[in-house]
Amino acid sequence: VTRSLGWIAGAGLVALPFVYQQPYHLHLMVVILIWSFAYTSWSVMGRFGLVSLGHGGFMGIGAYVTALAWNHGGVTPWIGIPLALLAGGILAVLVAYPCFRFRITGHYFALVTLALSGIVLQVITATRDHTGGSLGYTPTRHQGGSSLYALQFTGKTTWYLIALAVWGAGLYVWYRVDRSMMRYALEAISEDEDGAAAAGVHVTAEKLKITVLSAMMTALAGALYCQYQMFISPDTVSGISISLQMVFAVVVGGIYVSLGPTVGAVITILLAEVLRISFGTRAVGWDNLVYGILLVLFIVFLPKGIVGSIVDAVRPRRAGRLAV
Amino acid sequence: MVMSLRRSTVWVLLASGLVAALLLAAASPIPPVHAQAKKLKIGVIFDYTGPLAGGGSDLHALGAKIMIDHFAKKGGVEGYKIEAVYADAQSKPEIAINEAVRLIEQEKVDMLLGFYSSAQCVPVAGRVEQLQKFMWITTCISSAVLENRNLKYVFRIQPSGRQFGLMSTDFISQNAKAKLGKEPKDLRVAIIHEDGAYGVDVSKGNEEGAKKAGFNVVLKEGYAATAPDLASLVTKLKRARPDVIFHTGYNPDISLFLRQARELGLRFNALVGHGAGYGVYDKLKEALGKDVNYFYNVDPISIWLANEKALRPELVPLIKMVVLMGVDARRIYLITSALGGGLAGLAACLLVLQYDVHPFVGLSFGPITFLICVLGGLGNFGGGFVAAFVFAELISLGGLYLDLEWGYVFAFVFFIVMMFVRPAGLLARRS
Repeated sequence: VTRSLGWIAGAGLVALPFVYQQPYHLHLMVVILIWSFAYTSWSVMGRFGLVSLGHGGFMGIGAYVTALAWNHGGVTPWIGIPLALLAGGILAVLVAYPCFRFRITGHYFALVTLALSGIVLQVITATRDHTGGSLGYTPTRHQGGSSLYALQFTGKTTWYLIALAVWGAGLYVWYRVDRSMMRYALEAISEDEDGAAAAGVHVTAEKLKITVLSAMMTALAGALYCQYQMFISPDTVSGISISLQMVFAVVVGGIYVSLGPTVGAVITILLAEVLRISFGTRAVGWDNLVYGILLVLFIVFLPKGIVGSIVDAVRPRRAGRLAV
Repeated sequence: MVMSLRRSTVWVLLASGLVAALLLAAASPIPPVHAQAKKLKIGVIFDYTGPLAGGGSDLHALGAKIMIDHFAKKGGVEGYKIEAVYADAQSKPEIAINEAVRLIEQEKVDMLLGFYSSAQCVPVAGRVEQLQKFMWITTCISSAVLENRNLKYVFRIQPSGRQFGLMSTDFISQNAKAKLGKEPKDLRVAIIHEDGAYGVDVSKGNEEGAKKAGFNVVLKEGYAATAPDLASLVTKLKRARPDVIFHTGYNPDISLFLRQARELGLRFNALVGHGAGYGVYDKLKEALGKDVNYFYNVDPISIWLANEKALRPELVPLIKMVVLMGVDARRIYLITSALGGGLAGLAACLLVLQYDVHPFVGLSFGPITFLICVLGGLGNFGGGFVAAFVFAELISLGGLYLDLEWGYVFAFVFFIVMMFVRPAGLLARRS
């Protein structure tokens, strides 16, 4: 039953932009889908206790490598994006390999990666002659506006479908990881590294694999964001605040369920938009205050996240972590 | 225990669902009424919150509101009724884009008005052009907003940043001999600027003008307006010994720069600002006292400094109203800052000596403080002390010899390497 419901929902999502054409709402949905994919990418490793605060860095690399390759080298995003993924993956190996090798785990791992997202942000800002610094960066418009070669589309429907496809692919990766042997290895590692190693799990290799996967997915999210918004600045795609935004949204949605990050993205983005619009300019600043308080409440009272809590409430008997 | 936990979970879910539903209902747009035929709907976008608000954006918003209310009360313009929808861009480009799209598509405004920061104008202008609606820019002085973009729907009633930059160098060049006692070609000048669209643009004008006047440019450097420390920039300036400094910045960074310059004993004969923070005279005076009397500023005159007698009589009460309303808006802002900053501790009290307080000031410190504690070893007092010094020196020295940001890069890299080498902290005993 769940499966057929899933197919119906998927078909509905694909059909949506052909029926419903409000550009602002479509814009919000594209943004939500791209962020959902980024959050899913984070939770692919985050659910195994590998709390990374460096994903803002990977996202920034994805966005800037794609845009710089296009503007400076005239390289089409079809090659630029794989380059960006490669760069994200290499960066992940550079930082994560020594971390895992020297057994830097838990909070220390979070802090090392935190420094990483700080580094990416500062390097983008410092190389302002090429990246535009805090001014931000705009990929050059290909003549005519829409172009498959430049991966630039003026229509929202096209972007909606692209974002939907990538988001679906993200969920699929999540699902595959969830059903793989890797999952058991990583769960064992997150419980007890020595125990897992003794049982024959190659701790460093397993952790490295999932980290690189997650980093590359996040870089893809950054590249997509850049191609869609046609404007990136260091603060909107990289840095510590983006990393924290990912963690908050995933925790709100539910870290151990496949749709958790998506629900987290929907709730955090819609909440921010709705609060800002309804408070408007009448009570300036209060929207952020309410947003912050709600976020704290969600995290305190629903530590498993919204989707996680619903799953628990619906299926109270079955034990263990369930995938929806 | 388990039961009650589950019940509370359900309650929270129900309550949050209810809140979300209410908010959605409140925010859904009211269906438009097509009663009057001739109506002009204006979407006004400024920054009411975030660092740019205090930098001058809220004053612009207030000015726009006063004029719109004034004309709305008069019954409109040219037979058109006027209606305005206001939106807060929160000092963020992506929010400005969202609001621009929303106002045009959802609220069906006929034109957009406002925009303070060039970083918002650049992407928003592109969007508006695509949607073929009018955009009337009041501020955003960067040339990058309009130059070579062939925009047909975007208008700006401001001189460009380059013109500001040229004007200030021209002013100094004309007065160099008489006031500074030096020929222009002997004059040592420094150009410093925030690295957004605005600062870069004005600094280009500065550079061009300096070349024309024959000044000796001893330093030209950009920095991020959000940089939490400008001490290394001040040190560089001290080493370069300029007679005249041309500075372009927003507000928190201008106050920070000036305070650090005073503390470190930076000397100069003239300092020329280019609007933004330098135009908000009250705030500068609050921060620096009498010193502001030695600054110059290239900007349209602040209205409360205007000579009342030279103005048309009906404008005088309007200006008084601006000042009064300004106080009110500032109070709301203060309340939210107080709430937001309620958690700042003793360290914050000490930092306030150097920084302008705004609700976002804490963001730049949190992560660094945390990194320093861990670098020193959690719970290791001496280690934390040493780590703080090492971090500060790396940041300052890196910034002194390269761009400011590289200092942070060095510090972060140092942190990562030390985590591999000495994960228990700098001063931890080897086990």
